[in-house]
Amino acid sequence: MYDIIGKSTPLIDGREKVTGTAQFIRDITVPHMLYGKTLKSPYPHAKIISIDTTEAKKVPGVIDVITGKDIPVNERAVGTSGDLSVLTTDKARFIGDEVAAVVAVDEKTCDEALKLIKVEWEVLPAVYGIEDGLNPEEPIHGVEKDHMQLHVLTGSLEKGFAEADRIFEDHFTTTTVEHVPSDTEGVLADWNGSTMNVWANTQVPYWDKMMLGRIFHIPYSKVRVICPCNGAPLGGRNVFRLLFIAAALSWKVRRPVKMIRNREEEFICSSIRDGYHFDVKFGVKNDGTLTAMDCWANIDSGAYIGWSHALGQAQGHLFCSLYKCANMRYTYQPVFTNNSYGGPMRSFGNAEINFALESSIDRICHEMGFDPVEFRLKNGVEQGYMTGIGWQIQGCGLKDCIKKADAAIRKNFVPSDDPDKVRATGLACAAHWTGWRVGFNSFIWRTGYDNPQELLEARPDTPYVKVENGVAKWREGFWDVPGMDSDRSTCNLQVNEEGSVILHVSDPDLGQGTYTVMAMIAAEELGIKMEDIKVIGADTDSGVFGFGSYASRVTFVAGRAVQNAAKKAKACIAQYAAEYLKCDTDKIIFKDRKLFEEGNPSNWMLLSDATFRTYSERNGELLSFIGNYDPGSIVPDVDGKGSISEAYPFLCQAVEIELNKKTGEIKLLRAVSVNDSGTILNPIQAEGQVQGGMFMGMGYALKEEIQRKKGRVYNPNYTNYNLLPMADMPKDLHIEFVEQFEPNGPFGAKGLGESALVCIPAAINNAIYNAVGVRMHSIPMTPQVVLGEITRKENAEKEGK
Amino acid sequence: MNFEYLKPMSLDEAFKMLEEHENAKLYAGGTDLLWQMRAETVAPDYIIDLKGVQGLDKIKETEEAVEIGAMTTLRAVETSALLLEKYPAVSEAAKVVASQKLRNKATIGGNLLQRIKCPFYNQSHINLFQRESIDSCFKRGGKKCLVMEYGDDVYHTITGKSYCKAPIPSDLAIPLAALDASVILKSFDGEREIPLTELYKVGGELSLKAGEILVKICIPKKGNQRNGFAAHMAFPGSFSQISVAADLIMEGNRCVSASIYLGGVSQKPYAAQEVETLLIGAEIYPEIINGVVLELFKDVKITNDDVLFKIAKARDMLKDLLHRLV
Repeated sequence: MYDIIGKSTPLIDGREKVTGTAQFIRDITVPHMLYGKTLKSPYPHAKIISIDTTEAKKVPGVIDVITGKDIPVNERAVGTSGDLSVLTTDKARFIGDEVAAVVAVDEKTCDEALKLIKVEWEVLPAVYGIEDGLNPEEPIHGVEKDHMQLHVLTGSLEKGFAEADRIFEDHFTTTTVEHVPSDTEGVLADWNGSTMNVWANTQVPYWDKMMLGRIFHIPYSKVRVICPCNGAPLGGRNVFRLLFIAAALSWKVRRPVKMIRNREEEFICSSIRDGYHFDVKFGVKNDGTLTAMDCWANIDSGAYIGWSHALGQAQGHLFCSLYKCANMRYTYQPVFTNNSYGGPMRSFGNAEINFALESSIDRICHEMGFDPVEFRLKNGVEQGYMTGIGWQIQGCGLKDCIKKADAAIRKNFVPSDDPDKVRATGLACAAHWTGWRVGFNSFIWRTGYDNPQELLEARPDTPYVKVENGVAKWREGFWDVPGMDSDRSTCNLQVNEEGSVILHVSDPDLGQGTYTVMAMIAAEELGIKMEDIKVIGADTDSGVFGFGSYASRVTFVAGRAVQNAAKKAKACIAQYAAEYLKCDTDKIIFKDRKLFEEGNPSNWMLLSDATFRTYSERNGELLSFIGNYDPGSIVPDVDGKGSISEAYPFLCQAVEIELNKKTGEIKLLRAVSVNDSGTILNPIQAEGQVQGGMFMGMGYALKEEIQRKKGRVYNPNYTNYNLLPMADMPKDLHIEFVEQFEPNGPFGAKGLGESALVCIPAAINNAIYNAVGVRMHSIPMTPQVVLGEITRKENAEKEGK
Repeated sequence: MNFEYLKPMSLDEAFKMLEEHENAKLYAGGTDLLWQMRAETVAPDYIIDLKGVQGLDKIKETEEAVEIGAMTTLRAVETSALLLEKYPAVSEAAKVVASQKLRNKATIGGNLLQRIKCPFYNQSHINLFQRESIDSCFKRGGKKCLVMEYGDDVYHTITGKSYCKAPIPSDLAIPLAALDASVILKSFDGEREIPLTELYKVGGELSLKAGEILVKICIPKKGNQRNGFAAHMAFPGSFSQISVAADLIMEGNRCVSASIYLGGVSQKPYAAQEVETLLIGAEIYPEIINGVVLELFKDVKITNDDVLFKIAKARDMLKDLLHRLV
């Protein structure tokens, strides 16, 4: 049907990347460039009495040393809820909290200077876990925990549980993990006295631009953020503190400053995936109807709120949108601890809540005697359904995904003949989104109030409002920009005289290949070849705007923008071509670098002739078109409800494991992923996404964990942080797509990137139960934990006898 | 990190340099030393590179023993036809160390003499704030061993009387101990030969004296030996959490001699005498193996799931190894 869409196409920057000519942030050097390093707190919680930089400044080669006081707008400048400063000035809240920065001729000199900065600390009592964080001895932010709580409710829980025949309660915990990007955070900032040029491997260049403008009181027109190649930040660069520190150093010394985090800093100082405690409760009727679902989530938000509010909202939506149930509640309690702060990470809370939800569903099925597949098919959401939290589901292949994944994992299942090694399968399913309607003001988005006075009246103790001369104002911070209700991306498509195309896109390619997909969409629309297109990556000076690369939104939202621009280009060219072809403009088809009259293939002209003619007729006016798309999603209302996305992808994943009962070790034999992500635009890339996602999910489920003792990370390196090794990947990966056409998406596509890891932890847990009858309640499910649970069960059985 | 690089061309020259320069470190493959320097666990003023010294990288067979020069690379140990035939346990141990790139550089001497690997000691000190952060290991200026405070885990010893809980880091030491190997240490004053197991002191330190250089490892020949090695690590190329090596001499089904050592569980190679005594003199059948391995670490107190797993895994590995050898 299509010439390019749906056909495996290699990445347009693949050749550069594998031959080493692609430019990553580390590869960029400019004349007079300096290097920066930060001084970080060695204490998890300590008040800063004074910082003395005199000795450090005397080190030969050191240009300057700055603290937060040197930065025009330092306090509450970074992060969604604005509680993170560029450099901390009041007190350090975790080991690695950045309090000063050195700029020098090289990194080694920076290190020497760091040793000479004298900080007088007053060490405060610290909290390291959720339990302690709920009632801290010394508050970390002075914000009452209840003020941060949020919940969404549909129907009546009381009624729901009263109707239930059985009630199930359970407790699940997940751990904190790092994104472990191949390319650590890196920034090159160059303030030359009039313009702030920043090269950074960020995900959200336009947010960074606005924050930079505000921090240094410079017009947005004088800020430029450029994204070179990016090595998989996986969500971690939505809160990008280093970017602003580098900019502050450059702003102070008026020379280019480069800062790259080493691996240890990446582990400790950048944002991480939060840890959760879930208390879940389900009411089920004997006929298998879910009557009530309740979840209380306590989250280890770390030292700053990071993205915790958004994560809470997201999880509430996910918890309430996979199964049909009339009475649902999700309560979310961020807890401050003296650990590194949490932020978004691929799946944005979904893998965590899915572990709790899908493990519980499996338990319900086992205890009530339902078939887990039948139960999911009976209760799963479907096309046209409006979930309790307001998701308007359009294309939905959830049930196909479940059936196909189940069939695939059952096929070729061979039980083990070794009595110590049990083989079993497990399955889990999930829903996700394609883009989030964030608005531009997270707490407005969170509460639904766009006026500080209204919020103050409704919740007098809100931490987000300050009262000045009797007038309620949003608290200082990035997010006091008036709310912007949008999830927009734009692009600029320029058709050259001979029909080739230059495409400026707004959302950075993080390595997942969105530039390639953008080029494919443009090429398909205009009937040209991939090699005719040049994609110019995200650069805030390129005259387009996009919210950034997160929430699996780029292919969908930016893709529609490209389609929009290409359609405009076609309409313009067709106008002039119609005169030559002597047919109606709407009868003209663009294909194979030619223009045809529909239904009359002998009447054609070359695209290059048509474009040249168009240029000529328009006296050389540039064929340049801005493409635009803003999804028809809505910002959640005051109750947190609304269809936050325009398209919802679904998936079901299953695994076959071999569990060694003597040692608790789990070997993954097979894994199946069946995804409904609408039309698959580039199959080879989609398959790669799913493989990567499953790999990440398996590591998260079985091995990865940031190990801390008293707030200090003890495994911030590849030696001790247990990533899943390639050797542990199942040899047999079955990846299938249910190509349910999504009416809103470009060529029927919807998001895929994040969802690909979501069900793996729950699927593994369900397989463990099927193997040995023991259910895990925590992630990671390491051999130690599994063996411990098996042993406890055996001991209990012995005692029972 | 400032140091002077010295390259002696003979052992005598090396001894002289060791004597003349304070705070000097020997450099063989460098894969451990440079790493330790980066973590700032050592900060030598002089580095004495032994690569110029001839004759230390040979694997030779004599009438009584097989001798391995200390500067032999792990890759050479791994692929040596002589070792593969007579002492596959040693080759197998070399094979699990790090990656082939590193094994091309790393030497057997360096592997035996590497510093302890403990997350509290040397795994996270690249940055100043981490070094300065509260609760340092007692070997790095702190007050106590942090394992004592935080409890046992998979990275630390489960048996032995040491205060330091970092297990022996060398994978090669385990099969060499099982094979009853000895090491030759040379200095100005001459040379001495000590059993390999005595190279390691309780406390995580080495019994090497100042001015001494490990020059070779001797494995005595005992006739028809069957030996093998197995290791468990979190991921390929990382440090073993548990390793096991066994050397058996069999007459038919009867076990004449058994030597079993484990790594990752104590500060010296752990001699599994509780299993050895049951095997020696016995007729060995699969059922017997499954039974005797349950004796391993029978007296170790299980403090948490990590210790539980370590013991279970050690038994499982030993079981598989004995089945393979018999």
